[in-house]
Amino acid sequence: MVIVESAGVVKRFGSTVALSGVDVTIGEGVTGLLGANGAGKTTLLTLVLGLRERDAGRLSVLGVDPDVAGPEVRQRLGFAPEHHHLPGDMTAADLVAHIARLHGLPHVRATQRASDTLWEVGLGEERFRPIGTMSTGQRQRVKLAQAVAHHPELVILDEPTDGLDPMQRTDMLALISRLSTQHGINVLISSHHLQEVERVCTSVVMLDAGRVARAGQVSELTATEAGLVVEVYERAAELAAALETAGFTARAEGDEVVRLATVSPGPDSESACADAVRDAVADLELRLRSVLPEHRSLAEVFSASQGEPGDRPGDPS
Amino acid sequence: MSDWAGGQQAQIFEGGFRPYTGPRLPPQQSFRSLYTYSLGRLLGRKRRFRSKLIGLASFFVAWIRAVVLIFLATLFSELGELGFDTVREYYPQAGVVLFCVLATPLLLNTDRSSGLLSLYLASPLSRRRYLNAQAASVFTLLFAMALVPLLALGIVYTAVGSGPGHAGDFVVFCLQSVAGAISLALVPTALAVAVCSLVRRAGLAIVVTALCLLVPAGITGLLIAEAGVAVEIGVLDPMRLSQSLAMRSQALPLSDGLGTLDGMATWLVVLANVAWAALLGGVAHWRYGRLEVER
Repeated sequence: MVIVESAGVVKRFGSTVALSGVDVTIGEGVTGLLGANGAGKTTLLTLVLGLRERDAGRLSVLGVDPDVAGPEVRQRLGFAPEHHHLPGDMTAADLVAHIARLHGLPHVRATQRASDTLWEVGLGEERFRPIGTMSTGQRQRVKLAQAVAHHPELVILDEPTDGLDPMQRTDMLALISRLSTQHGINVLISSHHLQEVERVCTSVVMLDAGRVARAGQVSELTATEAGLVVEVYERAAELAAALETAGFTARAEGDEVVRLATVSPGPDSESACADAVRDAVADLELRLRSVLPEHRSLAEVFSASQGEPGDRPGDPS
Repeated sequence: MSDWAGGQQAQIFEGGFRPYTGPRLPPQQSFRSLYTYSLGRLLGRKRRFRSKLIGLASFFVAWIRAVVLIFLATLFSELGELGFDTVREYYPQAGVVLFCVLATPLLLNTDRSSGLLSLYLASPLSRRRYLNAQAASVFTLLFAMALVPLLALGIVYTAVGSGPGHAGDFVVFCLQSVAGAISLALVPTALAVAVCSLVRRAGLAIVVTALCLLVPAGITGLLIAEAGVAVEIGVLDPMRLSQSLAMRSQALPLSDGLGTLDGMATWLVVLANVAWAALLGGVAHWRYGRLEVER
């Protein structure tokens, strides 16, 4: 099922072009929205939420155009903003129930859902505490709870781990992952933390200068141009030479590691590589430590997708 | 082994977060949800005591004289309509002004500073629907503040034989009271909401709203009384305009020329009230349509 689909979406703020022809399809699961400051992430999110109107192009969220039916779209969405400001004199339960009612849940159901959701995010014991007395980590959980209490079809999280310590980040990422895998809620995360996105997201959209630089499944993006990393206990240079002789591109790194590039991406090519390694190791009577597929990190993919800093338009939103 | 008769009926209702499959109300109900919630919030419901003080103080000012008069009228019916007109003239308006100056900024400006507005606008509420719901909640309380003492007095005086004599008179009295309460509440609501839309900080909005109500009243009063300027300059004074319209709506005698703009034509008073409400409402909608919301 397609959750968000855009074609040629343009958004300008005066003379500044924030989005210049965004073509993207976001499917089910957890999707990361990546981009440098000013790449257009927030602008794209506001268009998805129907809070601004695009200047050109086509945009569909859950099958509906948010410019035409913004309230109907937003009723099916949840949103957790980046900022940490929440009303300090409200209890978490009151806030979550109130937002759930605004999204169409009847009064009693909203109260019940607020309680269940706060237990789910780990604030069950704290749900009647004023939000003003809560830590940053607890406020992040309150923001997440209010975004999912009405069980939206898509929840948009803007920097959900901002201000959290490593343990809290791990917990929050597990929570986000659970939303998708256990509860069937699709998630769109806007984040600067590439490692976190790689951990929790099944697909990513990378924006650069108001355009989609790369988009797709994380596994596909990181496996592109992949090869094998072969670790032996000694004589890596001899192994690299043997593999070169066999027709592969191989490079020894130190005395123990050989990086072997596949001829072309694909399972057959990887299989041929693995066979060549097996034969060469046997011929040279080497002790093999490991053979692993080489993947680029998402950070490397992201860096490669970004243009020169001077090319980026500002993002005034 | 015991045979538990109730075993077949026993069920375990497992709680916890799970997909919601219950009823959902249409997006239009978000207006009602916010309106209802804001009514409680303005009165300090589920808030600390100090949040309740503004509402309590305003209602006290607006209702106290009526309460005293009702008390006296029930004890001493021969006192007749003691002070009835005074209640209809000034006390409710004092409460209305106090409430709209102090409570409206704490509703609207706090939404902006506390981040609630960004959550609201990510819900089915549009900017227009949000503003209308908040303005409606302020108006409702001001309306109640102005109407209840009038109606209560009318009922009590009627009961003791000093009020409207016939059923028809009583209906007319009720309609006049409703019109008077609307007149008292409309322009102050629009003014307070417009100021809150233009000013970010609640404290500043309180000061500006108070000044917008009191300064024109002071200046036009001086010009009319001391400089002999025509009473029509009162169209620049929203507080006195709403008071004048309220008194005319209730067919009260315009005894004080300065306070009630008695020299001004009724059609001009009506027109000026409507124009102020439309102008201030337009300003608020224009401003909220362009408001940058923290995300």
